[in-house]
Amino acid sequence: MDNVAARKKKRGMADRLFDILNATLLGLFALACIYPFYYILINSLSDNKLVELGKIVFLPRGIHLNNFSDVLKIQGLPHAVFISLARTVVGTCIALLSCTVLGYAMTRQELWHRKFWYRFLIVTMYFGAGLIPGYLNIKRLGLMNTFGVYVIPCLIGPYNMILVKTYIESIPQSLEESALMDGAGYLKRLTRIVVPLAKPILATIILFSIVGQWNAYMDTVLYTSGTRLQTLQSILYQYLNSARQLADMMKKGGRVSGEMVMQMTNLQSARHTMTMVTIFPILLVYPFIQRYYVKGVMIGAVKG
Amino acid sequence: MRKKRFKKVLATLTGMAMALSLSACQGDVKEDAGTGQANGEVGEDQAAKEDGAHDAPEPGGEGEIVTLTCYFQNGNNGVERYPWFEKYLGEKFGLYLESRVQSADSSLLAPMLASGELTDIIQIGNKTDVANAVAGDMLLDLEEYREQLPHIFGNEKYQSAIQYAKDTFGGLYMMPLLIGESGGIGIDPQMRWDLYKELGMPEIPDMDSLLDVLKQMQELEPETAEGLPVYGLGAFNDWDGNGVMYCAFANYMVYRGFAMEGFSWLAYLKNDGSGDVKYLLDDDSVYKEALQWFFRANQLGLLDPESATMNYEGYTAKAGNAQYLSTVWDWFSYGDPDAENGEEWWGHASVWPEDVEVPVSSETPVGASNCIGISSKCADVDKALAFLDWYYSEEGLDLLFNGPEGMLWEYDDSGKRILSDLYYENDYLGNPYQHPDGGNVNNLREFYFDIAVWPTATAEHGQRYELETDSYACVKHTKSKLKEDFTENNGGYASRYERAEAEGKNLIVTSPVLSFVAPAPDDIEEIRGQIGEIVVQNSWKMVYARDQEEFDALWAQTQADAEALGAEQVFADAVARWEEAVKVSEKYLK
Repeated sequence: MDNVAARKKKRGMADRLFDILNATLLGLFALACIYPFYYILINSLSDNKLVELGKIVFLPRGIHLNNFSDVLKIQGLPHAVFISLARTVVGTCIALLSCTVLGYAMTRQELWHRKFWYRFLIVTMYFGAGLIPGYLNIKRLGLMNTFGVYVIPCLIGPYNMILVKTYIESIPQSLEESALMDGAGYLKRLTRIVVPLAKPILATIILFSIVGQWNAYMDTVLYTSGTRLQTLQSILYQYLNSARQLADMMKKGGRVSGEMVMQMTNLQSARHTMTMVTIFPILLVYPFIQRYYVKGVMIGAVKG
Repeated sequence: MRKKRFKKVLATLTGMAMALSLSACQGDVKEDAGTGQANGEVGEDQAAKEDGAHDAPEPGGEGEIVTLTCYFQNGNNGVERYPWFEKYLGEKFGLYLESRVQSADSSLLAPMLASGELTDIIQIGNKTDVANAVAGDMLLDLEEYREQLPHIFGNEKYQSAIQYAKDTFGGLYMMPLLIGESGGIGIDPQMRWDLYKELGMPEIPDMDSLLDVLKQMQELEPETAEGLPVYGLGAFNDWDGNGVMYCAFANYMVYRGFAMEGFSWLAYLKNDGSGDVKYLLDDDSVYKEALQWFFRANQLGLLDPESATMNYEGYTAKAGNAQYLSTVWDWFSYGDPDAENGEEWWGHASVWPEDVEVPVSSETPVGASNCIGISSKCADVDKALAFLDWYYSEEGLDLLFNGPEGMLWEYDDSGKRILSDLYYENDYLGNPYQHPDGGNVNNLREFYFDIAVWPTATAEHGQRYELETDSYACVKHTKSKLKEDFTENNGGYASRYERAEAEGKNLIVTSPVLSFVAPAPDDIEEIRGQIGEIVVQNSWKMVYARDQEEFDALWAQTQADAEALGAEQVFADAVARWEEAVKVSEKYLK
């Protein structure tokens, strides 16, 4: 008790000032992160006219749920949700599998030309082929307009692979060696020894992959047609495009009607609502993976 | 326990992943085989549709529904957003159009061209891309299918466009869009009519007096009912381009009868094509006058101070909230019916300075640079041709612009087409009317964007193709105290346009030669891009300059920078391209 009291006593003005400053800065930083979400939420719930005028800044006004009910009526929305979920789940699973296996393989000294393969993968982090070669590649692989286009190109993420490799290298070799002495092969060592110990980094990769898959839309735009493979994000993208298109029409002047002006008003709210609908599921994922996340990135990255 | 559970989860996920990735790969094979799905084969897409992936039309009476892919550059929605239209195409042509999602920057077209495979039906927005597609043998020559395209080859109004396309690309590989007359560009100077009346409807001989009148109006109403500041006018920056501050161009140069867009940067000329091509940065340039006018508006406190950082959406929001006393666009006349009919009614109506020359009826006999064609690898050429022919027919245009008869439009007792009550009760108020078969009846334009003719052009039945663009029909339909008062004070005309047409003044017919101006070469394009950026940037600074001295210094700086970057070369190129356009146009203009 005395020690505690003494420690408290020792905290001087400078410490307290530091704490206050610390709390203020971190609080502001947290606010800067949270406010955009809050802003979108209150704007999706508030009166559309007030939203268009930019009047909704701190508190919602004229609360209604019509925007949400309108968004849920969008043609093909349930199917788009299904595709988004499917690509997220499947894409994450196979990316996790491939990164784990590859990351593990890269830690094995006996891998044939290990350094070459490692560098071969790393190079792709620095040099992108660009839009047209990428398109041609996907086309020649026969992935156009298939579900595979969402998951196969994301199979190997060099960054994720490095994280896994580095993490596995941090696990004491003796653990694997003891399993080896007991007669365990590569697969058994990977699944029984390495994977259980590498849960933090695997959770991190799951998070990266889920977010990446859920937010992706350009692959839908470039490699698919029709609504069969349309994702939630691509619908949002079309909504964002609508305002531009309406403005283009107005600029062109071929058709300018009051209806279009009205439509622009509703679009603003529709965009906020669509954004809310698309980001909400991904926000739910974070709390479950958070506890592994920091640990995984830290250990995986330090030695990278 | 936990370890076991983890293993189970991992095994399940792995199994799922492998199964699904295998099924995805299997899909590829089907897809490849499915390139021939049009000829009676039901490809994967069709199978998916039958599985309920989306509401595909049931096969019509004459065989299977054929799926053709399409890409409408600048369009935004796929046909799937309009089930009624999807059903119509299915029943009429046995056709299902599977559209590529359009990208905001049209980045999808480049890889499609590079891969040598376009969608079955495609809209392309510029001549260079069309030329590349033709060079790559990616398009059908429509001339070889004359008999299947009677509405195109048999219609007199499309002939100049056909000839021009043939001359330009060595064959009719693509059919131009937006052919013929366009009924103006929506420019119709508007002003707060109630305040103008309160001032005793003073004469406005020129643009400068307009600012004086706006100032007096602002003094009458310095803020809105909600306490927001009221300005004479607002501007926005997201339409800036072509090397000018767009609002200065639209609010002043267009009023004064000058054109620039579609012609060239750094050069402008009279809207009707008369007179010489002038240099934008000359000391006696109309553009400088425009900036000076905006500068004065700002000095008088009439210009919204947020204009420089505002986008179009912000502008419309403030305009809709009665924060601007005047605007250049005619949609201000679609006021709030309650406000226009109240005891103390208020709202906007057309008030034109006496020296304005509002552009009307631009004529594009050869169409715009946007065009539509059929891929040489099209899965079903006959169906694609049938669709294309319908796309250019009066029947097709009618449906694409207005939807089916009896919904948003109908015939009145005299046989004239009019917008129906359903239109005024729904779309007019911003709530698009839903077709019983699903999807908005209107707004199909978000799918196809540009079409064979201008929406404002006159159809064979003698009215505009798109009925709702006849804004004055809407104005007349929605009677209000304000509109009645305006008509009474406007010589009995419901619109200022009508009066100008009757009086034969204040209107200027846009020269059709403008549509013949060829694109600038790449090197010039690059230079003018650099100059354009400087001009736009400095234009805003000039508008918000502290005093005349700063304004003049910025103008001189702009001139010097532009010259240093090669403005002379850009201007010379513009003049040469205009002269060439005049020559070329002689062949096609009658």
